[in-house]
Amino acid sequence: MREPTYFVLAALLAGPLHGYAIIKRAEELSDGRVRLATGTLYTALDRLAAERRVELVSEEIVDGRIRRSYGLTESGAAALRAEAQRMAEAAQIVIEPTARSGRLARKPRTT
Amino acid sequence: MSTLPATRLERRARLLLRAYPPEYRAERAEEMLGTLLEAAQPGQEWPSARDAWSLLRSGVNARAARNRRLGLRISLRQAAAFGLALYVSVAAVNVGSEVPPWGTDPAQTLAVALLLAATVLAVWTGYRAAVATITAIAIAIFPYGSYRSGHGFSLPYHLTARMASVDAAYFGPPLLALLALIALTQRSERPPRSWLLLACLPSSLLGARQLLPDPGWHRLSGLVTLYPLRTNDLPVLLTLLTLLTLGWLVTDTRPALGVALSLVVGQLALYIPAIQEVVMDRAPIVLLWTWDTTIFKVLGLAAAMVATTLLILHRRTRASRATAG
Repeated sequence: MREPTYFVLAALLAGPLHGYAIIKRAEELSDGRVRLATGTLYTALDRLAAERRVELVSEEIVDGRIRRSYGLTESGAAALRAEAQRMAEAAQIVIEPTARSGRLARKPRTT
Repeated sequence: MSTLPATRLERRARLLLRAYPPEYRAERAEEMLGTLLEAAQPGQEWPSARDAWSLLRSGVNARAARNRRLGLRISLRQAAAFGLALYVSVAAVNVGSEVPPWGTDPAQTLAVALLLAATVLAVWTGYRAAVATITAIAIAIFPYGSYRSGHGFSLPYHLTARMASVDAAYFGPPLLALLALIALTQRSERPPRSWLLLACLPSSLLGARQLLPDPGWHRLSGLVTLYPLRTNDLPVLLTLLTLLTLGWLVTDTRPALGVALSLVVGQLALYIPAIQEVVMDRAPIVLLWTWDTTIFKVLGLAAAMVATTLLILHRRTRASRATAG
């Protein structure tokens, strides 16, 4: 999963948001590192909707324009958790190398 | 669409959104515009470079994805129809420009204009009955116009069966291509209107040549090629077609395939009169090879276009498999 996709899903973890709110939330969550451009956001939303990881939750008219809010589906939340777990394990190799190597050393041999 | 007056930023963003396919814009443009305007700084008049680039890139990708979804069968039919339309439009313009002075005979001009209209109607509307009627009228009008202007179809000229059959060899292939076009086109599979730009290129070139001073190169060589237009127009037309289709390859491979087909059909049709001359005059077969090397250049260009298209299709298929994996 690419970083913008990860932060789009992470932004929706607390509840449904509309386009601009997703951009702001992703920026906050990444400490300003991920600043989604409009085109990138909607490409990601299209793909995630096609994969059934996000869904349209509501539509309203604001200043004469349609505003849609998107929410995380169960499969989207599961994919996000799996990605977070994968990254945490990958990070652990670098951040706590001794703890991991200690666990590996204690692991009984099966063959 | 919003009822509020459009700001400069909104107008410029709307222009960038045109990179997306029309059906996508109908669904999403207002929502995206709202997001873009909300994210803008107060007083901002231009979309940021990052937003502009992302809209252009995403729009082009969305167009390419839409074209891929059409499927191979429909894509090939549309490419073939477009290729034949291009060939017919070039041939119609060529027939019109072969009989000087161009435009002085209203009947003849009308016949060529009708053939061009029939071609456009066949591909972009799919009204077969209307196309067949217009083609029949054009065919009926053209000899009348030529006879009146005293060129090509004068009675003594036509009374000899030999020359009549040579004329059939000149005019037959475009008419056969038009019939194939009528059979190929379907109203449910109309190609994008933007391809009209390519199809109208030959007639636009002829129009431009009529308006601009003639450099007279074709008179120097003493040759008038049968395909397409006159000798000095061929490189200009091929360069323009190649540049435009190369640009189109970013989102769509169909125009390149169509242009390649029109080049192949045009060049092969060019040899039909030559073969007839050889057969009827008992001329040496070497006549076929004494024209010039244009055929090799044109067919080489067509082969290069097809090869590039296949390479792009192969890479996109591999990329989409990788993404799915």
